[in-house]
Amino acid sequence: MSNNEVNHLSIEEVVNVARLCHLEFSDEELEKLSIEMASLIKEVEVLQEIDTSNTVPSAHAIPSVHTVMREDIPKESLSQEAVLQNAPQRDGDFFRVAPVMDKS
Amino acid sequence: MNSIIKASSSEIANGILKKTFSSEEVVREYIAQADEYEPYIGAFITRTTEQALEEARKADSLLASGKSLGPLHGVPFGIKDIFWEKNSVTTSGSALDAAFVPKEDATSVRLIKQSGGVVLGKTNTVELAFDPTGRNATYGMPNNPWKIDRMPGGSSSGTGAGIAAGFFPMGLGSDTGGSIRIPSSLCGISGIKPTFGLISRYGITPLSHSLDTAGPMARTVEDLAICLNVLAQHDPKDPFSKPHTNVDYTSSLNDGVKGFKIGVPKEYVWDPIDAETASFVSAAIKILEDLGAEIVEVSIPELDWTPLIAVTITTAEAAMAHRNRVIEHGSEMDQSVRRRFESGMFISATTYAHAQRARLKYASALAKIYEKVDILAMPTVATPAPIQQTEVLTLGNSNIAVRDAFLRLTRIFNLSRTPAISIPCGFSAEGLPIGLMLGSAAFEDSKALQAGQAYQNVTTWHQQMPKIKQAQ
Repeated sequence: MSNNEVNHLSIEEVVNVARLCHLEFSDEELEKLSIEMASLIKEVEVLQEIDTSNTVPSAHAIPSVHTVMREDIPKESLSQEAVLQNAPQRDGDFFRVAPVMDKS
Repeated sequence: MNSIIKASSSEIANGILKKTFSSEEVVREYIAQADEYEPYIGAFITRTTEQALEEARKADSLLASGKSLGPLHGVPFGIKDIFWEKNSVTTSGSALDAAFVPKEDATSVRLIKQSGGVVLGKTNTVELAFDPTGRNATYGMPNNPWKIDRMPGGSSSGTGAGIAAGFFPMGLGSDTGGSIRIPSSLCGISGIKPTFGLISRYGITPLSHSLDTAGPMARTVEDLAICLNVLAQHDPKDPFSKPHTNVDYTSSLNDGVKGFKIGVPKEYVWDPIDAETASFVSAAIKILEDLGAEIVEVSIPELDWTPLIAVTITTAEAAMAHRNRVIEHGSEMDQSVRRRFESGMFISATTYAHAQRARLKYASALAKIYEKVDILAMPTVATPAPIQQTEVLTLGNSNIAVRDAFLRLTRIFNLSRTPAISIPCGFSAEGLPIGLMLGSAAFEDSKALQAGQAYQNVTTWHQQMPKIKQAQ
């Protein structure tokens, strides 16, 4: 994908990105997409050549955005017992969830 | 009463106010026009005829008791079908939303109604507003009233075609890369993409949150100014809505262009372009010079970046906005539109961030130009309306995809977040409208309107109406 003369992506590259995006394609669609995406990537490569080093960094792409959230007003929260009523599985005062990391 | 169909919104509003005719009479005229010609045009997705007549009668009754709701009292209106309207189906041009009925009005729809506007229906749009041609796989592409085998332009295709066909004198559109100005140009009407943040986007189906704008489309620049007065209100429900500015967009309309400096870019704009379009736009700029403006050539090399930055930001943000819809229901969408959304998912976060920084640099370059000139002038679209099936255009020595040809110039003002209007400035040998685009600095929307009004005060292109024929 870093080749400056990209004419098409490999099917494997498209499948990999599609899997990350939760997209599914037929073989025919993958073939078409590998060419279309190469065109997009070519444009992106040209875009990367624009020097933005002197651009003032901004925390948000749109300056002077204001929040639409209500004021943060403290109020009494739910009891621990009430919150735990929603737990599919409970272990004492804790939610019990499936492991997300390998033991190793 | 037949002349009502050719009248501007302000003429209609004045006539209703003076009781020359009633709102119900006006609305009935427009309904009759749509009854006769809508089968050849396809401007509407949903017509709300009975509701409109009821609202018109209410407007008349209010006026009889001495109360006017505002500058649009009793005036018929069309609304692009990506704006929520309470209790009306709002499809966003998608089969997936064919049964979606919002529980409230979009802010801009509410403001129009509060000012007395009478909604005649929801108008055709490209699915999720993501294409400039007007194509729609579910609801069909509206036909261009000037030549029904031609594209109307999009994505606000139904509002553009509907105003040109005389189905309503004014309407709402949205503009992310040109979706108000492209159909305005191709259908021979006037439209404005206002400064980003001037009009609330609350209740409008999003496409690209950092570029989306809403705005009015109408017969005349004066109508645009009147409608902007109604719509330019701060809305706390839209995080990008700017504070209310108290500008009266009609106050300087007739001040002319004497003393204005009008910049004409020397790069990017004039190639590729259709020769007739270039000729009519150059003639229009000459008229502004004759009216007292000083015309200066300006150099903006950054314009070459326009498609790169616009494509990256728009597709990435569109994918972000509609990711779940595409993943779960992609097979029920227009497949070319679906593909566009999917391509946005292939853009990395770092590329998107780089594009936004490049956009800031691009916008700064335009802001510097606006320190030297009041107006930037150029064609709205590089070509008159092509035949509907066209995929690639030959303009001069270049072959260019229709989408790219349409968006090439309009996107400039989305990236800079500055206002731009499109007004008719001539007709091709085939009888197709050509549009002149006039841009001004951020929050100086009134300057672009002032220049447009000066042009319309001495020309009659905007007063032309098509003779709609089934076979041409």
